[in-house]
Amino acid sequence: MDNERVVGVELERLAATDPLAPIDPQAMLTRGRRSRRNRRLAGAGTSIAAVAVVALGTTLLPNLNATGTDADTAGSTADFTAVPGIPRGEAGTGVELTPAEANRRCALRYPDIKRQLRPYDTFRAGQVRMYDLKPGVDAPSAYCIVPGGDKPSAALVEAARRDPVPTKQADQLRNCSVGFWTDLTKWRVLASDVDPGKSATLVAVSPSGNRYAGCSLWAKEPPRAETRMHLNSTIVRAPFKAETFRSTFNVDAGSHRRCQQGKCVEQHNRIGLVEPSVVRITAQRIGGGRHEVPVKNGWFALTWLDTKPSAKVGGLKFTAHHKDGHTEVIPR
Amino acid sequence: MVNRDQEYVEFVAAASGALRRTAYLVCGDWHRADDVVQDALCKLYRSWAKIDRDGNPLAYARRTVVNAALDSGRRPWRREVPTVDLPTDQLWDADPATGHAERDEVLAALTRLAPRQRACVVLRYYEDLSIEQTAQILGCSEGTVKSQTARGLETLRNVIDRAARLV
Repeated sequence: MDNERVVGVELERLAATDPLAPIDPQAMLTRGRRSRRNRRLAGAGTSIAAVAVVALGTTLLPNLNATGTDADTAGSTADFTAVPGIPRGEAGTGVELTPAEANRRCALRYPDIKRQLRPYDTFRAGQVRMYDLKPGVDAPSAYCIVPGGDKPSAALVEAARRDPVPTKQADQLRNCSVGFWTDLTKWRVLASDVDPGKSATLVAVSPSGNRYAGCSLWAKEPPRAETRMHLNSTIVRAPFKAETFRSTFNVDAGSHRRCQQGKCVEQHNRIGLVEPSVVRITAQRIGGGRHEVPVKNGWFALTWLDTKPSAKVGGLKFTAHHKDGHTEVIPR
Repeated sequence: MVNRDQEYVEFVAAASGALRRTAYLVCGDWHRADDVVQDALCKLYRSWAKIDRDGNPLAYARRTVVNAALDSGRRPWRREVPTVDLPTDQLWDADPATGHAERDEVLAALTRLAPRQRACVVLRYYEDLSIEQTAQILGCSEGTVKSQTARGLETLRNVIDRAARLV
């Protein structure tokens, strides 16, 4: 296993040296159109011969028209069952919903909660939304992870409950699938980080490349019924919004401090897509602990429970290490 | 049609970089990798309507790219000709003082792997694909993937360890 990790890291380093300009999508579209047109013109001239060949081939090979299934196609497995009225897999998540549909999905998932969701501007499947509080009614705050179309089996839910912060990416995807009610098990992890026994975070892309999931798993909180997926977890449609290191880490989001009986801890939890020149990011408490994560093609995931944070907020700095050796530091 | 083209453009924008990096690791040359990926994306466009409907253009593109990258090394006019054929135990007499040099040795070791071993290692440990997925892309058995990957992994790990000892 260690061999695999070491070789994986080396391959990532080699791949990060891409010296070429990005491929221009519009130019590819033009080239693709031209190629298709040329092929059609060429095909028209040989259509009669082609028909004869196909007819002969069909006679000799009865299974010619059988189509194989694609190995990577995310399909339903025994671990997930369909949810009424919601498309399976990635098609059922990351999409914008009407308030009525969001409420319907949440009612399917949390039938014991009889309230409506708060009136947000937007609702999306794969997003955490808060239930409305009824004035005068002593009901606790409650959240709905707006579900997709893959309801996890009881065995899967139990597996996630037993191991809330797995160290293996496959198991992390399983737990995130339980949280989102979307089968992420065939999604590709772009970046992940784990603080063993405490927290894990990852960003993954769907098999088609049309959805991205950011998922954070915590061992202790929030104690949700199905999973300990953190409330900032979400699924979005492509393209994923790229930021710079500076804009990502300049905002005071993704870190929070909690104190109990005079003892404080700080949880730092970030995922994102920064400029591809960044090869690693370091979080460092001034005069204390340090946590570093690699950045692969701009993708990073960082999770770190700082058990001895500075006495006051602001004793933390984030550093981006660029390919050319220069660094950017953001004191917070 | 417009929507379909827009989806294709979005797919190319999102996936072409990753596909080129995979192609590079398989064929060992950035420019050849770029050619391979552009050819594959062009083919992809011709079949986009069907592939997009089936729901997995990335898998199709990856399979096309990997096989084309493997095939590009077999073409006579592009066949790699080793210019230096040092015994393995002499490779490390050169100055390995920098991480950059170390990585170059890893690249050299990667390109010296048999093409199919290289593809297996890249798909398994760079793309994080399963044995089954790797076998389907390469059109071989799962047993072949296991054995080729194990050999490639051992070779690379030896190179990396030796580099680390000398740094």
